[in-house]
Amino acid sequence: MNIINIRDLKVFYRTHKGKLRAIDGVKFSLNKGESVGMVGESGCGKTTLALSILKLLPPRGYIEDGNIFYKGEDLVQKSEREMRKIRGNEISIVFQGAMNSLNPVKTIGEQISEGLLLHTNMSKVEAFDKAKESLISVGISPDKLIEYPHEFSGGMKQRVMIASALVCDPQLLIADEPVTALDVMVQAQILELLNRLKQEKKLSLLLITHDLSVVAETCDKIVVVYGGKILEYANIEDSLLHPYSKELFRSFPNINGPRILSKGILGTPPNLINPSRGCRFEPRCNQSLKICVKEEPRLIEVCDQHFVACHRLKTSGA
Amino acid sequence: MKFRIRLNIKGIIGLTIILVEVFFACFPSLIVFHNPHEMNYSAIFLGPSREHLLGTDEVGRDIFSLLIFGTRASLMVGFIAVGISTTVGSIVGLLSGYYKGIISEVLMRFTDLFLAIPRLPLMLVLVALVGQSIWNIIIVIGLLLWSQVARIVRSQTLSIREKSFIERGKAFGYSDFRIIIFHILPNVLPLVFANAILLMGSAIYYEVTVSFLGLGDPTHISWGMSLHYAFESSAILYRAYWYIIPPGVAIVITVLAFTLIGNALDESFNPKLRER
Amino acid sequence: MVKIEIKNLKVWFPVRTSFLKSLYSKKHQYSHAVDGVSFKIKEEEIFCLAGESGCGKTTLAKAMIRLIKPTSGTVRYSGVDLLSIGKNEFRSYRRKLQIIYQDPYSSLNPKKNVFNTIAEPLKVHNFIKNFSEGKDIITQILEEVELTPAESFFGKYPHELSGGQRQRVSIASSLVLNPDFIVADEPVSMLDSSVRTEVLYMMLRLKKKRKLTYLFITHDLSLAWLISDRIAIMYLGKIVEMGPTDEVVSNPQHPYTKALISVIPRPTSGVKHKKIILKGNPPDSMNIPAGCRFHPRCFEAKDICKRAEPSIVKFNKNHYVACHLLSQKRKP
Repeated sequence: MNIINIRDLKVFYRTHKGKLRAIDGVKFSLNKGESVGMVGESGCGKTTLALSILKLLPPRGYIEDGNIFYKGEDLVQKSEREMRKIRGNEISIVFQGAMNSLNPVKTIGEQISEGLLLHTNMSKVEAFDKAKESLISVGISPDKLIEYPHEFSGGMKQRVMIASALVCDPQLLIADEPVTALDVMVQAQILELLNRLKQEKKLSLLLITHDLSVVAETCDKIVVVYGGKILEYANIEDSLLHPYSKELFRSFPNINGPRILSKGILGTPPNLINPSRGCRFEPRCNQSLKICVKEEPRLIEVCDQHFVACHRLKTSGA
Repeated sequence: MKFRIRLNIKGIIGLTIILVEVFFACFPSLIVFHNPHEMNYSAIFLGPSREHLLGTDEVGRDIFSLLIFGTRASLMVGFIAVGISTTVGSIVGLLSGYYKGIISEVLMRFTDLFLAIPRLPLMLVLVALVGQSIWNIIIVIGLLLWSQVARIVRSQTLSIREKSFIERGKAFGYSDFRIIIFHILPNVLPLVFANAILLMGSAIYYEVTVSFLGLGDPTHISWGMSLHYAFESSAILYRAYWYIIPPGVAIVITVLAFTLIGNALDESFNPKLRER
Repeated sequence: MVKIEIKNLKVWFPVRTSFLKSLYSKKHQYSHAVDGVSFKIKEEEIFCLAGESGCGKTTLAKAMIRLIKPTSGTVRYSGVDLLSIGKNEFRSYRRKLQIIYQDPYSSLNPKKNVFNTIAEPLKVHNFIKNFSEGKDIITQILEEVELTPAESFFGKYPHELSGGQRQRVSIASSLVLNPDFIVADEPVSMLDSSVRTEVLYMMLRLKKKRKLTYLFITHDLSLAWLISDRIAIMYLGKIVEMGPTDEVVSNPQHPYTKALISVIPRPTSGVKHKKIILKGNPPDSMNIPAGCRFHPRCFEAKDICKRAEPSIVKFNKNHYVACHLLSQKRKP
């Protein structure tokens, strides 16, 4: 059963130069209990997608077209009031640099239980107990509940943010770059925590990151996004097939692999205000064909549950 | 160095008012037909008429002419006094923000002292001591308003000096002087500028207050002096509203105009305040 | 040839105590950011300092090029003791020792365009007399950092550039004085993955061309492994392990190094390796634990670790480790 089903979503931003097509026809679904990692360079539309699911787009952004089905209901049609009941309660989000989003004058306990008081009829005492439980589940001792954020380190603050995102037992957790600004050891701790919570709470996870190795460590599936489009969607065990995914993969040092520094992907991300007619990656692709300039490739299933949008694969497969 | 100033509609209104006033201050005789100093005891406390647009005062001077000629004094006080306080304040703020330790402590305590002193009484005492000339008033106002500027410049300097381009400058072997003047100053300048405009309103207010209380320069025409004479000559008793209201309105409009520009500049330099 | 050598370098910062506390306690508290570090970096070597944030790696590097005043110890650069010479004499060395910062957004003055940013150090060091004279040099250096056509970048301000471009400008202005020792403080950690490799690639090319020596600071061991010749792992102001990168990564000896290497994320899934996840956060440099400073987090700690501080000893050729367990293992 899928928990999130996005159909032909288009999200645009109004800019003084024209419409910026941040998400341009994205189709994907996330099954219950599954974890999907979304990777791509900055500015490719990853964060926009997360924000559109919760309808928290900045004022300049709007959903132009498409549907986002959450348990069969279209979130695009929902009012702001209805969305408020869903945010934090059914779908939670942990933002990038979340550790800076704790209120310095409230105790950790107050901040975690805030969501409960908002979404449930719990009394303050009950909510506090639940907050304690949640704090233990992220591996922080419950007597820290009455402490203030400045007494916490960056990694602990990130755990607190995860605890408060999970306190209402949401069905889906969206984590936007949850470990980016953290140290390696803390990063490992947080990823281990996410892995454990995923199993214990049967949580569905949408992990957004630019770091492919983070996805490999925590997710079941991987989505590669480029220029507002999905280029590849695969199981994590499958080897990636799209030229862009391959390049991206190669640009991460792999300590088990050869000790060679890749040259990186030359060129710059595409202009999303006036995108070209063809494949978005074509100008940077070293394997492009004539057709790539003219026609945009569609996402096709190359083997079981593995989708790729590339002309080369279609021709070689046929 | 590049300033990108985008004024919103409020700022443009404010700027227009000030530009018109600057024109009045520069060429007052193009606007009025009467010599503001010309007295006429046969025409005192006359109401508005075609001859005297805003009537006359207790010695028969044309109030409209006094109003237009008074613009010069007010703007002069605003620009020069603020020039003094901004310069002093910026120097103190930059030095105390850049250097840690004893220099910073001493300068800051000195600033605090000036912030804590009740300004108006001190101003009155100082003007009374040095004599009632317009230049003395300008200098006294300028020397009393710098502490605010110093505070703002210091806090901005403190945040900029932590940026790595400052340390980078040290790695290139730049002198402290170069770092302060070429690297920190350009980054605090927009804020100083916006603040200076806001400060002009206060400077004008102080001049009006000092003059109204009778410590103004009697040889200069200013709005504050007009109000002072109106009060002295019991214009209220004669119900000479045309004598009291125009200078008051002129002061309010001018101060408001400066505030509008200042806020608009603040918004334009400070992206966080920009329309959300 | 040794390019730069430090011996027993210490950087202690006095900790500001409250006024009340200073009344009843005379003792000054210090934060021991760097607490006795010695090593040599050879000419044209890439030496990597790795460790968690707060371990003192940036402070150490800045102390080496005299951006921070060390408390004690020596720094010898090409045989000259940098800490004993006066300010004026040091000026001639200033341009030889440069630094590249982590954050390309705060390392460039937002009010200066690319041309002036690069021309300013040239002018201060009298390479050029006025700003217009530097045009050829600046064109050349911009081409070296792959910002072409160079002239189109002259008038650009930092806010008009992407993160990668800013970092290139930053590198260009560091290199324009022809330095030979460069501290690179996490130069790519804030860049996007594809830009990251491009910039690294360029830095390596520049190193070959200009015969540079790099001190590379990073918390990312996979990156360190990829580019460095030798690596030193730092923990709370001290080096716990040091040696050729290949050897340290494939055969780590110190428990801390073992843990750090085990948690390096790998882009390939499937083969799940065992991770050693250390509990807690690094203790702060104001209260350094007695004995081995790593022992409260160490998963192999013995009694002796709580009592005595291990000194750094040779494990084998060029590979040094500071751990009691190692010497115990070897004794019998």
